[in-house]
Amino acid sequence: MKKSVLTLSLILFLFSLKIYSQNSFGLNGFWSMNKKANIMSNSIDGNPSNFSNVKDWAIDLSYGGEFANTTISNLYLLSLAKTIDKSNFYLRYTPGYQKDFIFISGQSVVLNESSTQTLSSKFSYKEIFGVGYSYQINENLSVGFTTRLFNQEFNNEVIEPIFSDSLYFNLKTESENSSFWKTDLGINFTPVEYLSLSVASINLVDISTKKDITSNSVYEIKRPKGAQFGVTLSPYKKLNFNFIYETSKSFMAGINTGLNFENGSFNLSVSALHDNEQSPYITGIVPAISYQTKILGITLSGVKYFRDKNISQSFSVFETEGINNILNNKYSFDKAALTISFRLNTIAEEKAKIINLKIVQDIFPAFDDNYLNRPFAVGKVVNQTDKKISIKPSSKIIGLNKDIIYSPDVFVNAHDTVDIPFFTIVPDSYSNTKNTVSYVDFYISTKTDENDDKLQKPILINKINAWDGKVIHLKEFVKKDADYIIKYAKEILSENKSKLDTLVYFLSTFYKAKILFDNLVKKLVYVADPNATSDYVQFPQQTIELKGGDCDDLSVLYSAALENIGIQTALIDYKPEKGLGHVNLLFNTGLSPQMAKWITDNDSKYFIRKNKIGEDQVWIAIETTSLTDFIKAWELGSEKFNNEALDNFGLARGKVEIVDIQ
Amino acid sequence: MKKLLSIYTLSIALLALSIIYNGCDTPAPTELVIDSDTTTEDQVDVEIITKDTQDEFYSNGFDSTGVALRLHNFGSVIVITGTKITSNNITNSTSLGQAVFFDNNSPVRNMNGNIIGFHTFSPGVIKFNNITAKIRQHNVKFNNGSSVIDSTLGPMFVVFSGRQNTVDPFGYNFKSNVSFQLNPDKGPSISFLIPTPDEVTGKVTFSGNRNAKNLKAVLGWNGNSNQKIEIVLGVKVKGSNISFPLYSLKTRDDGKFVVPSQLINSIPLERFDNIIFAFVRRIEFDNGSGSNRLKILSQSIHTIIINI
Repeated sequence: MKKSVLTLSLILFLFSLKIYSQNSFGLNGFWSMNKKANIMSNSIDGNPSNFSNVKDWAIDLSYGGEFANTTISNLYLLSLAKTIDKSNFYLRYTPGYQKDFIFISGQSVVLNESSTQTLSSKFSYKEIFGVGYSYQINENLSVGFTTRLFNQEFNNEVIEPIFSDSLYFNLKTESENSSFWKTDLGINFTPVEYLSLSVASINLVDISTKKDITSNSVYEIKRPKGAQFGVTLSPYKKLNFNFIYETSKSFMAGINTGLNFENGSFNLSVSALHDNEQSPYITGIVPAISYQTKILGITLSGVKYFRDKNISQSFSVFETEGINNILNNKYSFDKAALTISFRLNTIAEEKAKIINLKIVQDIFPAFDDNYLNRPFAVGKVVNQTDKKISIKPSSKIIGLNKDIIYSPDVFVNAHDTVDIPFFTIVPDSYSNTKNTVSYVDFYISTKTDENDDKLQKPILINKINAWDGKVIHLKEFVKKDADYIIKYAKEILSENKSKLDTLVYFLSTFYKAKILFDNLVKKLVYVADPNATSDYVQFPQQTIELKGGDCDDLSVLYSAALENIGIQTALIDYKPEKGLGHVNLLFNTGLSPQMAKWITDNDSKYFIRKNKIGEDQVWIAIETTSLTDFIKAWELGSEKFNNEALDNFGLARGKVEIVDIQ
Repeated sequence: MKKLLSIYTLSIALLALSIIYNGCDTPAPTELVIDSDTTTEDQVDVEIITKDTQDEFYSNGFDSTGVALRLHNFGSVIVITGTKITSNNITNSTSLGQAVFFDNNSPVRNMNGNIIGFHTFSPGVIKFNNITAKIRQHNVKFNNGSSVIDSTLGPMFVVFSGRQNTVDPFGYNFKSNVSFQLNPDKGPSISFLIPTPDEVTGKVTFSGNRNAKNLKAVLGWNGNSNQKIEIVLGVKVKGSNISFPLYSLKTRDDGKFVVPSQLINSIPLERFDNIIFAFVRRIEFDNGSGSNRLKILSQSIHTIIINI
């Protein structure tokens, strides 16, 4: 209820304001309030909230001419802007913001019957300089104010009678002048990317600092209070429709567009003015063309009024209505201005930004190869520029990586948002036996030496033996300790060299596997996982040194021993209905199906699978937890495989899965 | 990159300095033209009447006609006047008809030999509204070196009524006509009607302080047209009955006028104790040239004497 009353009061207040002429006028027209627009005039004319897209330093200089009887050129403005963090400061000097009126005052001195001296007056209205400040509360909201110093000077020639022996007139000039500060506030809001809104006051605070005016007060510049509302609609990235409306019922409507060209962009803008105090309805247009690079901008603009060009104007109209804008009033001449904008950006431009980041898998140090192929994190990154850029993602996991790990470059189109994967490397030396919560520093950069954005996220680094229960990841354990296992296996095979030498060559694989298994079972015992969990797997060397392990430890060890002497293996994942599962393995005997009879007449004890090059070969299942001997383990392995994988359709139903190590 | 920045910086700085150096013109002014709708209060032609404030030559005629007429500038002058004089809130009305005929062959000179006027002569019998004008002597005073000389220029024809007693049964009727008739000593008589203007009634309001030199005189009257009205600003010498006009202010007859403050505040009040405002609404006729120049003036005058 209170809000409604407040809103209604505000609307009534705005509509109760008197109608005066246009304030929102700039020499370069009205470009856009969208920070992603090609160009935004760095001026506070029509921008009382000092909304700015300056990233660091900006210097603007406008020079131009007025097309009166003669063309007179002068410096319109010189401005300096600086952005510090979220604050923007603006200062400008405006020697060309001046409007002069001259007229015969109406007083004449009759010197004699044939000679008359007329007295003249000159009124000057000047905007001397202005300052602005704005603060960006967040990406969508900015507030600010501007304040400007004006001066008015009224010079009137008057006659001063001198009484001495004779009475005569002395001609002199009487001056009156005043100065005042005009301050306005404004808000800029960008609710969505393609829409920007603004609201600002007009002549909100008006403080006179010097007032020495008595007889000329009627001619002072009019400063009625009001408000202005702006909207920029950007249906396309290079196209903006701009509209600004004042409570004086004046408005400015414009369009601006641009085209990238080499290292810069050509931009075009045209704005139409409707000033309630001027005629015709569309008082004039402000066309502008601009070429912008990162450092330099050159804008050529002009103001063309559609009314008749008339140097002489009625004093009575001026006396009644006065003026309320120095640069744009019914007495203004057509103008042209050349604006040179210089941008000095000592702050690295944030071309890309991380807008969201997700850790997609915790770190299991044993799965080192996994993080080279699958990202451990994915970031949503936006290209903030209007060009295609190459983004280099990188990361450093504290406690795991000594250096920053670079992931592959990703190309992102202008203003596009993409998912960028982050990969990492687990060093071989990592040996932490405890789970650790650490942090990852994520970086994205478009240059090699500077980061555009960075973000830190917590991450879980599991202990070195940690396993996620997925049999496919046991492959990572099989690949460990290769040197040790090769040496271990070769020693055993060397001890049985004489036996192996007597075999025909095609049975050597089968017998090598048998010898290795038989040798291992002499030294090992099966130990069920004491915690009844599946989050811990021993590396092959650990199992040998500890002289035992559970099914996954033993399968990893036997698989590692065979793989390291060139025998192809596969882990069999028996998935449970509930509770713990089971793992044993298959190995490739290297025999063709026709030669299977050389090792067994029982065709239920082997299985035909293709080798690496697609040839059918004989594989046999080994139950590694059966530490009696190879024959028994083969028998149990075959039995379990036949029963669960084949007879109960485990393979077909996905309850049994074969995971090739290579 | 740094080198590129330096080149840019230097180029921009040089360009900026060059533009600033050459860019100090001021924008073209707009010329405003005073038009008929202008309400500004100080449209006026100002003329000094009495250039020599010690010279009382000009005082003649101020009392009699209520206006400073430099009659000797014309060959012959016919003046009919309806006058009101307001002093101390008392207003007296008078009517006056005058005719003066100057002899351009008989100049009056001062000690330096400069012509200060001409003697007058009588061409015959003069009648205003069929009332025969009396002949009076036209007397003047003027400085002649260190002495003031009284001089008689010759005859002057006058009909007059008003003040305490009615001398002649002559009445100046406003917005009407006054008949003039000359019966020369030789030849046929000449007669014609002289129109009269609307009666003018003025009002003077002062604001400000004369010691602070911000005394301001706001004049009001029954304005009636866009024709000009003359306001004669005069003074009265302190301690005497001598008064003389200082300025003639011709402005639009629109009923309101603010006297330029300099004209009021510059009057040396140690010498003058009254300011006299004479509102003169006049109809003029001019005929002939040189010694045959005939000036006919028909005027309504309201003189307000203010003790300051």
